[in-house]
Amino acid sequence: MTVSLLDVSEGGRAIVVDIWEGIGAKRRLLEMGLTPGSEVEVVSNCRGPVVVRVRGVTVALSRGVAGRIRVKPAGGGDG
Amino acid sequence: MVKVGRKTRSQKGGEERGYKVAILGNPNVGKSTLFTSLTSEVAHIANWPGTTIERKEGVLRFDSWKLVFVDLPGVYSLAGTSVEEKVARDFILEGDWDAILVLVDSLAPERTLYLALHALEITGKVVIALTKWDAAHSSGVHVNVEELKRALGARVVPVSAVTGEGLDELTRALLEVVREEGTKPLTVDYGQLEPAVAELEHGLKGINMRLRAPLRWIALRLLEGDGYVAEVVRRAGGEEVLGKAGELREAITKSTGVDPGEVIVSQRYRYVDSISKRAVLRREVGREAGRLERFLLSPVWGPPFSLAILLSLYLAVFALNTGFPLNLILEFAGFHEAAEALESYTLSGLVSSFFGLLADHVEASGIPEPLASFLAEGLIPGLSLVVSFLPLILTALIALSFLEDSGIGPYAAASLHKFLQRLGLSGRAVYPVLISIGCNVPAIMASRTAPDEVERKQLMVSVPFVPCQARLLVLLAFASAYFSRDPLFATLAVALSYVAAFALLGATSLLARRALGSYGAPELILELPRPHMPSLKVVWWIAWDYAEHYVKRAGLIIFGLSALLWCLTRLGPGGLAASPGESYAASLGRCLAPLAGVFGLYGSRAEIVAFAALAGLVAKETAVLSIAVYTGSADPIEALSKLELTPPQALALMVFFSTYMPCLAAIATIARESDSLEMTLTSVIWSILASLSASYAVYALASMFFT
Repeated sequence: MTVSLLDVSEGGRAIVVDIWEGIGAKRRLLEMGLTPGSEVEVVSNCRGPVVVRVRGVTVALSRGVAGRIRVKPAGGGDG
Repeated sequence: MVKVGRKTRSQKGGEERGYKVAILGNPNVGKSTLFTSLTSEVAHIANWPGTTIERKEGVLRFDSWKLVFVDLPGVYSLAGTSVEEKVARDFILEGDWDAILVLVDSLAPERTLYLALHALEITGKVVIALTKWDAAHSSGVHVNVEELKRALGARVVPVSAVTGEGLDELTRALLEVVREEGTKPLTVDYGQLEPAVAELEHGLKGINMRLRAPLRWIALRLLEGDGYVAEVVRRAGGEEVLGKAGELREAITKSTGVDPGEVIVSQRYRYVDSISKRAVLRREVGREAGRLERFLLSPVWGPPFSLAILLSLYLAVFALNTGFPLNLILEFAGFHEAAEALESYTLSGLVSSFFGLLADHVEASGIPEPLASFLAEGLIPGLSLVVSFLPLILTALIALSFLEDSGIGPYAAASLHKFLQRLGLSGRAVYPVLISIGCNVPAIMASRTAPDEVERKQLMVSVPFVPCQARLLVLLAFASAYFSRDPLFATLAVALSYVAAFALLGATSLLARRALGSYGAPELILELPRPHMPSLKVVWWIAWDYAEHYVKRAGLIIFGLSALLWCLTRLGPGGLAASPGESYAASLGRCLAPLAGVFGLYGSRAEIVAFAALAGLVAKETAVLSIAVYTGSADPIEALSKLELTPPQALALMVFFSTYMPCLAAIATIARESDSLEMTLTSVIWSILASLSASYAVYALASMFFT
C-alpha cells in the first residue's frame, strides 16, 4: 500500500505516511510541512530532484531524501 | 501618507523613546525586502557569535519614536536544529527585544503560519505581517485578515514592501503592542500530550531559568528532547524535572510508536490547518506549474537552460567590468589594440586610469621621496584596488539578487544539484563557483546563499582555488613564454592548471565537509519560490547594501595590507630600495627561496620566483610584472623566458601560481564574511600546503613524462 515518494509519477498526488529515520533531515521535512497526513502533489519526478507542492509551497528534494518519504496514493489517484 | 523608513523626521530636542523589534520569518518570505523598506541607518554588527551569519540592525523613526529592528536569520522553526535556528531561538529566548515581528507569506499561509505559532506560544508581544500582499490577489489566494486576527489573538497587518502598502499601519501596530499590558501567549492544544505537558509545567514551577518563554513552552521543548533547553533547566537546578521529562518521552514513544517531537510538529500543523480552513481561500487548487517553471525543471532542458541563464549573467557582469573574456579573445585573435581599448573603457579600466592620473599628478607635484613613491605606488594603487572591486561586487551582487529575488536561482540550483554533489556541494553552490572564475571576491560573498553553515564554510575555503581572471593572465604569460611553439600544448598546459585547481576545490570542499562533521553527499531540501519579475528597487537595495559594507570592512583590510606590501617591496634595510633586489621583500624571498627547491629551482631563479609569489599577493596579475621589474626587463614574457625553466618546472609553476594563496582582497573578504581569524588563517595555510603538494605532483609526473 505505501510506496516511497520516488514512485509517485509526475502530476500524481499522495498522502505522507511517514519519514524514515536515519537522515538528519527528518525534523526539517516535518517543519517544512511534510507532516504525516498532509497531501503532496508531485510537480516533477525524473532523474533530478523530486519537486513537490505541499501546503502552497514548492519544494525540491534530492532523490536520497525523497526515497525516505513513505506515501500512500491520495483518493484513488494514479500515485 | 507618512513616508516610513527613510529619515523623515528629525527629533527636535525631544527625548527619544526607543524599542527593539526582532524580525522573524521563513526563508523566501520577503524578510530582507521588508527589512530594507522599513529601515534606514542599517548597521552591520559583526556576525552572530561563532557563526558566519551577519547580524544586521536597522532603525525606523516614526513620530517621536525610534524602533530598532534586529534581522534574525530565515528559519522554519525555533527548534534549534540548524545554526540559523539556534541564532534565532537564542535571541528570542534571551535577547532584549520588546516585540517580535513575524512574517507570514500571504501566498503560502498554510506553511508560514507555523513559525508564527512558535512565536505566539512564547509571547503575546507579536505582530504578524502578511507579506507580498500585492501579489496575493492575482495569485488567487484570499486571506481573511479579521478571521486570522481572531484565531490567533494577535495583530495582523497585510503589507507590501513593493507598493509600500501597510507599512505605516505595521509600525503603529508595533508601537501599540510594545506598550500593551497583560498580553498572553497563545495556547495550542496538543491533544494526547496535554497530561504530560501539564505535569512538566507543574514541575518547572519555582525554577528560575531566565528564559523569556512561559513554562508551558519550556515543558513542550523538554518533551521534544531539546538539549539546549534541558541544559538551561539543569543549570537552574531542575534535575528532577529533566528525569521526569525523560520518562514521559519514553512512555509516549512506547505507547504511540511516535516520537513526541513529531507529535508536537504535527499537532501544531493541525492547528495551522484549522485556522487556514477558516481564514484562507485558495482558488488555485491544483494549479498547473507555469511554463517557465516546467521548463526550468525539465530533466533535459533544465540544466542547459539554467546554465545558459547563469552564464549570460556572468558574461554581462565581467564584460562590463573588465572586458573579460572579450579582451582575451581579441588579444588571441591578434587585435592587441582593440583589446586594450576595450579594457580601458570597462569599469575597472576607468577606475584604474583615474587613479593612474592621480598617481602621476602626485609624482609630478614635487613631494619629497620616499613619501611621493609611497603615495603614488603604495597608497593610491591600494585605494584604486579597493575602488575597482566596487563596481564588480555591485554588478555581481545585482546579478545574484536578481537570481534570488526572481526565484530563478533556486530552480537553477535544483537542476544542477547532481553535478555539484560530487564536489560535496549542493546545487546552491553553482553561482559562487561560476562567479569565482571571474573573481573570487564576489564569489566568497555569494556563498551566503549556501543552504547551511557547513556548506558556506566549505565554499569559503575552497572557492579561492578557482583561477580567477587575473590568474588566467599569469597562466597565459607562462604558456606563451614556454609553450608557444606548440599551440596545442600551450592550451593543454592552461587546461591542466584549471583541472588541477578544480581538483583542489573538490578535495578541499570534501575535506572541509568531513572536518565540519558532515558525511555523505549533501542532500537537497530547497524551497522553490514561484518565478516572478523581481523588484528592481529591492535588487538594488540588497546589492548596494553588500557593496557599501564591503568598502567599509574588507576595503579597509585590503587598503592596509596593500600599503604594507608596498613597504615590503619598495623599502629595504637602507631606506628606499634602489632596485627590487634590495627590498625587504627580496630578503623575505631569499628566505622562502629554498621552497622552490622542490621544483629543482635554486639560487637567483628561486629568489625571483619567491619574490613574484609575494608580489602576486596584492593582485595575482602583478606576479609576472614583478619578475620583469626584478630582472630589469621591459617585456614580462621575455623576463619569464629568462628564468629558463624546463617544461615540468613551467607546468608546476603554472599550477602553483594559480592556486598558491588567495589574493589580499580575497583574504580580506574571507576574514570579513567568516568573522573568524582562525578560519582565515586555516584557509591561507591550507591553500599554500595544498598548492605546493599539487604543483610538486605535477612536477614529478611531468618530469617522468619529459625524460
